[in-house]
Amino acid sequence: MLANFTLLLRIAGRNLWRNRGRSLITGAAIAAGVALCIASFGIMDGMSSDMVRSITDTNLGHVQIHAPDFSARPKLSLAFDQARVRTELAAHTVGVEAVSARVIGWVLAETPRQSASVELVGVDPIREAAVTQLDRHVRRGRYLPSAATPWPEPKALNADDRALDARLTQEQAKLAEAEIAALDGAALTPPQASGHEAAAETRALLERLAPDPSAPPPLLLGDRLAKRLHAEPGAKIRLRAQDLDGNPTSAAFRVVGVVHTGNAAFDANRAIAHIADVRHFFSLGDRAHELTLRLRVPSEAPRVVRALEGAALNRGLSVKTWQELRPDVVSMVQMNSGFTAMLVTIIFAIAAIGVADTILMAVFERRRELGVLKAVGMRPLAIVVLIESEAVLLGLGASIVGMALGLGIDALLGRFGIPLGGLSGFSLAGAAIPPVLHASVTVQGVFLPAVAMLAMSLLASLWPALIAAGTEPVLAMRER
Amino acid sequence: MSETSRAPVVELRNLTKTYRQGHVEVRALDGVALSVDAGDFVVLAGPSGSGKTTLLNLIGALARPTSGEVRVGGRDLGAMNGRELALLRRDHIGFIFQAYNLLPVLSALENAELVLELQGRSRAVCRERAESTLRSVGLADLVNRRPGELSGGQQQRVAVARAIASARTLVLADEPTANLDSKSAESLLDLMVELNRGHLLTFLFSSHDPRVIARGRRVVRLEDGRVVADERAG
Repeated sequence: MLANFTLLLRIAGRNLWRNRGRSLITGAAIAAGVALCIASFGIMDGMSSDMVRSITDTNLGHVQIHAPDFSARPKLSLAFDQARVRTELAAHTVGVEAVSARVIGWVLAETPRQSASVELVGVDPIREAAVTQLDRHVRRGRYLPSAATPWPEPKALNADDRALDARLTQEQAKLAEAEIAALDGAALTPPQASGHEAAAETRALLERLAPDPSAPPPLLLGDRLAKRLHAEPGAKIRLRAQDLDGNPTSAAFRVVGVVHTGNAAFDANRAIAHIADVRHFFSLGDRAHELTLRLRVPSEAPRVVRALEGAALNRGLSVKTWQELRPDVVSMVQMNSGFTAMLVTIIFAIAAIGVADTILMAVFERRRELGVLKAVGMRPLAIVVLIESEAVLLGLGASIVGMALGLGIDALLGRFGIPLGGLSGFSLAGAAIPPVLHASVTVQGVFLPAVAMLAMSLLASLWPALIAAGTEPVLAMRER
Repeated sequence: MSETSRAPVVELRNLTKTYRQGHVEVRALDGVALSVDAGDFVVLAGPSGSGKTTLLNLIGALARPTSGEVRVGGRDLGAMNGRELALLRRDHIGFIFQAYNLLPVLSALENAELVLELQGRSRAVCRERAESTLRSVGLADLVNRRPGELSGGQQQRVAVARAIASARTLVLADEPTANLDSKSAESLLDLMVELNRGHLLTFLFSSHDPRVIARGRRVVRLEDGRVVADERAG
């Protein structure tokens, strides 16, 4: 059988060489198809990787730990003792590169010209940079300093303060009653002090008892938020909110930098400050809302989640991979793969028609020779193997050339990329599409098109091979 | 199928073959009966259309009869499937065609090795037998030439080498000298006679050339698909 097979390969190779012009054209078509497929996979893989990185490397990390309901309904009260959880993480988990604790709350940001609702996130600047590389996204100004701001200790209320507090509370209550009565159609009794005056007095009392730090804590803004607030590095912004106990809290922050991540929601809504400053602002003590983990190998996220789940569940926390947190991005990556697969299938179908045509022509041209082979005792299966060998040799040679071409294209696209021009810098479902699409090379993206093209060549030449195997020697040898 | 077997190498009983050409049924063979012994040198003679090629095709298991029986080496071809017929052709029957029918992509040596390789013989055996056979047909110096680089007579000698290299007992030749000049034809016939005598090969070939027919030890004449004469020389 081996001797037979080498004979078949020899005849197949020489037949291809005999019609080298035709073989070259078909081979070039196959090679171009493989190269195009590899380049398509490279660009799509590159785009998917960039999209995923745009969420994992700016905000999401690879794994997150929260209180169970926090993802659906983020509330200040859903904070947990992060120090103990972090200790357990260090003890249990292999493959975790860095961990960053965060506190998160919504505030009202005011500048002299504008105000906006803002998601204030407190991070440890050094740990956060290790997890999300936030420091690399600063476009103007600088990144957060590693040290927290020293906050003055709050003062206790004296007798005058208590009296003032009681009066202001009484006036606010009267004002509220009057407003309710007005809604029922009763005449509005003017209060002794207007709402605005009472609010100003309240703020003054608050600032005297819990004064701002001597220097405003540093703050980073997303670039779209900065534009909305007309705030550039150096600008002072007052943040107002309710703390963990429901008390009003307010502090002035200084914008030190503006970041652009490409993630539209992040850039439009987020302000970032030192975790100690934000904890102080919200009276959160040492607690956190979120632990974000960066892994050495991102694809190991499910394994890490399994390793952490027991310890996290014991503390009433939930652990999720980025894929579980952002299924929309996973769907988009899958959709990208689907589009690529469709494109690749079309390219393969065209190449397969070329292969079938070439092999079919070769079979018709050589009917007499095939008839002789059958006459001298070659069995139909061996004829099928002979014809398939021609297709495999052609497909293999062309696929190798195509792989080399495809890798070359990927290398060029990886280095220089495809600029998207006017389409640049947008995001899909919060995942940034980079202004320049770069190809990324994966083993699957390179070998799959080559192997699939080879399989397609085999399949496409099956029909001509069966025709060849069915050759009637007597009829075939009569042909001139 | 032993070379020394006393049973007829070929036995034909009441053999009929009809073709359909459009609406017309053509009777190519009509009740042919024939027996060929081992070591015979038989010429099938007759004009074009007399049924010579059809008869060789049926004996060579390249076509099936409409009715009647073909036995080669005692085996009834009608009872064999396609695979068995292919093996029979590979192992027991050598073919020489009018148009040589060598594979143009193989050298003379590789063409002579072809059937040996199909039989699964070792590389060394294939090489040794093919070289020795090509030597015996006078082509020792041309073994590496492709068919396109050989004359008609040389190509037909390669075809003879291919037919006999695997030591088969029955050689069927359809008008083997038809495309050759008289000198090459004479030389080929000398070679066939020598192989018949020296290797005890059974030759059954067709021709309508009187010079070729004169070389046959037995001449079977066909007309309109029927055997009209069966003569032995001397």
